[in-house]
Amino acid sequence: MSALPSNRDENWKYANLRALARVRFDDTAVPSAQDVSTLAETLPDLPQGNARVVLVDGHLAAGVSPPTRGVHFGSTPQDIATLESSSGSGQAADRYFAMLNQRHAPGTLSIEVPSGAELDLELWLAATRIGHPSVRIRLGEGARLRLAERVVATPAAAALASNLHLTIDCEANARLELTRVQMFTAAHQHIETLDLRLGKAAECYLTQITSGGHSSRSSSFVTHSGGASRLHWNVAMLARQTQVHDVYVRIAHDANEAHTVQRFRGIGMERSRLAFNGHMQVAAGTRDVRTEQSLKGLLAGGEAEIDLRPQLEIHADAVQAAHGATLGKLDADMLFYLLSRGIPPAQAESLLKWAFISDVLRHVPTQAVRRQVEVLLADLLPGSASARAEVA
Amino acid sequence: MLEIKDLRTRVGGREVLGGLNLTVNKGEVHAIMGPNGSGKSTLAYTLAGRPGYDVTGGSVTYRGNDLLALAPEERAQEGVFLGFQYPVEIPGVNNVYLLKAALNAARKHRGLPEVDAFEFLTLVREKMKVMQMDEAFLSRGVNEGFSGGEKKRNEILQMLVLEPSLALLDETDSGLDIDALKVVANGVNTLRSSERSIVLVTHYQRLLDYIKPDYVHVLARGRIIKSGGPDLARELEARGYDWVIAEAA
Repeated sequence: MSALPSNRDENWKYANLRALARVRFDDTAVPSAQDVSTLAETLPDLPQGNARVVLVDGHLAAGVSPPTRGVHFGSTPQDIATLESSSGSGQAADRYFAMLNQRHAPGTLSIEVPSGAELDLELWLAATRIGHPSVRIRLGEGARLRLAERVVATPAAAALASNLHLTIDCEANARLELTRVQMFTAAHQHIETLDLRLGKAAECYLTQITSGGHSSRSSSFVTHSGGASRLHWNVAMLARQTQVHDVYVRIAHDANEAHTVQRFRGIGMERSRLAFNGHMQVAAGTRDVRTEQSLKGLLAGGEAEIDLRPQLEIHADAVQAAHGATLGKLDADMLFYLLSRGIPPAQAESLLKWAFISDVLRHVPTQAVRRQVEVLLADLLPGSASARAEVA
Repeated sequence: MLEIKDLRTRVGGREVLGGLNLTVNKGEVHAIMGPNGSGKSTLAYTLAGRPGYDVTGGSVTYRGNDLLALAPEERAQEGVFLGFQYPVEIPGVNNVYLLKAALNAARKHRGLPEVDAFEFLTLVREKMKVMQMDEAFLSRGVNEGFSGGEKKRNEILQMLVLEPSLALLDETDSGLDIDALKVVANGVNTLRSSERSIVLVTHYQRLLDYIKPDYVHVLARGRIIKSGGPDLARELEARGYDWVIAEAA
C-alpha cells in the first residue's frame, strides 16, 4: 500500500494532512443500536416513490433502509486494481485513501439500475466515529438515477472521520443526477475518493454543496470513455473559522465529442482555507472535445485563503477549451446598492454570498432537490435563502 | 424636508462639492441641472451615503435630523431613496426578494410587522402595472440582463413600492426612448404628494416636460450657481450653460 500523501505531492498541496495524520483510521467499530436509533429520528420523511439507504460508519443501517430492488449491501470490498485500470491510476498518493477504504470498509453498498430503468434514491452517509463507507453504483444502458447524497453526523462525537469511496459506472445513454450535500459537524474530518466513468452519450449532472466540519478532502477521477458523453460538475463550498476544504478533480476526455462543464464557487470566511484544483485532460487522437471551466472564489474574511487551479492538459488538436479563475472580495457597488435599499449590512452581505453560489444552485436539475438545498443553506447565510425560498 | 448647508465632498482626494446650499420643502420637486463633471451625481451619492464620498464640511438636515450621521441603510430606512444612473446587476438575487427585503427593512424600522406574502405581491403587481412591466421581471436577478430602459423602470418600481419621503433620481431619463420616458415620468408623478419631495438630477429639459419641477437649479463646479422656475430649464436647453457660469463668475 502506498504511503500517506504529503503536501509535496502536487495534488495534495493544500490538504490538511497534518490533521488527517492524527486520525486512527483503523479504529473502526460497529455502530451501536442507540446511535442508529438516534440517527433514525433525525431522518426526514421519505418522498413517495423514493428509496432510501443509510450507511452508518460504512455499515448498512437495515432498520432505516427499506429493501429496494437493485440495492444491496455485500461484504465484498471494491476491487481497487480494477478501478485503477478503468479510471486511470493517477499518482499513487491519490489512491491512498481508496485503498485504506478497501482495507477497512465493512462491505460495499451496491446500487444497480438496470437498462432502461429509473430510480430515485436517497443515500445517507452517517458518521458516529471512524468509518469507511464504500458505495458502487452502476447504471445500465439508458438507465436513469436521481441520487441525493446527504452526510449526517453525531454532533457530540469527539473524533469523527469518514473515508468514503464512491464508484460510479454509467453505461451508454445513462443519466445520473447526483446531488451531494455535505454539511459537516464541527469535529468531522471527511475524505473521499470518487471514480466516475461515462459511457457513450451518458450524462452526469453532479452538484455538490460542502460546508462546515474540521476539514475535508475530495479526490475525483472522471473518465469520458464512450464518446458524446456530457458532464456538469458544479461545486459550492463555504468555509468559516479554521476549516480547510480541498478538492482535486481530474477529468479525462478519452473519447470524441465529450463535453464537460465545471463550475466551482467557494466562499472563504474568517480564517478558513479553500482549494480547488480542476485538472482537465484531453487525450491524443480525440476530436471535438469541449471543456468549460469556471472557478471563482470569494474572500469574505480578513485571513481567509483560497487557491484556485484550473489546469488544461490537451494532447489533441480539435478541442474547444475555455477556462477562467477569479478571486475577489464582495463587490462594493452591489453592496452599496443593497444598503441604499435599506437592507442591513449583514443581510446584504449574506445576499451577495448567496448570489455568488447561486451559479451552482441554479444547475441542480431537479427543482425539489434545489429547494431542499436552498433551505439547508439558510442556516449558513442567514436572511437570504429562507426568505428567498419563501417568496419564490 | 431637506436642508443642505455649505456641503463639501471629496472624492478620490479631489473636492467635487465645494460649499453647496439647497433647501427642499415637503411636496416640492427640484431639478438639478448642470454640465458634465459639475457634481450632480456626487450630490446624490453623498446624500445616500456612498462610501468614498467623504464629507469634509457643511451639514445636511433631513426631517430635522443630521442625515450625514446615518449609515446608508439607515438613510434608506428613514425614507431616502436613490434612483441610480447606472443600476448594478446582481445575478442570483431576484427582484422580488430585494423588493420584499427592502420593504420589510423599512417597516421594521418604523415598528411595523413584516408584510405578508399575499399583501406584498398584490402591492408589487399594482406598481408593476404603473410601470408597464411584465411580471416575469420579478423572478429575474436584480437588473440582470435588463436593457437600460428596463433598469430605469425597475428603479422607479422600487421607489413606488418603498414610497420614500425623499427621492433622489440621478439621471433617470438617460438611455430612455420617448415612450419609456413617459412611463418613467408617470411613475414618478404617481409618487408626488404634499408629504414627499423629489430631487431630479438631469441633463435635459425633456424629462421636465413630463415631470414639472417647482424649482430648477444649475450646479457648476460643486455649487449651485443659479436657481429659478421651470422656465430656467427651457432657457438652459436653448442657450447652454456657458452664460450662467459666466454670470456667476
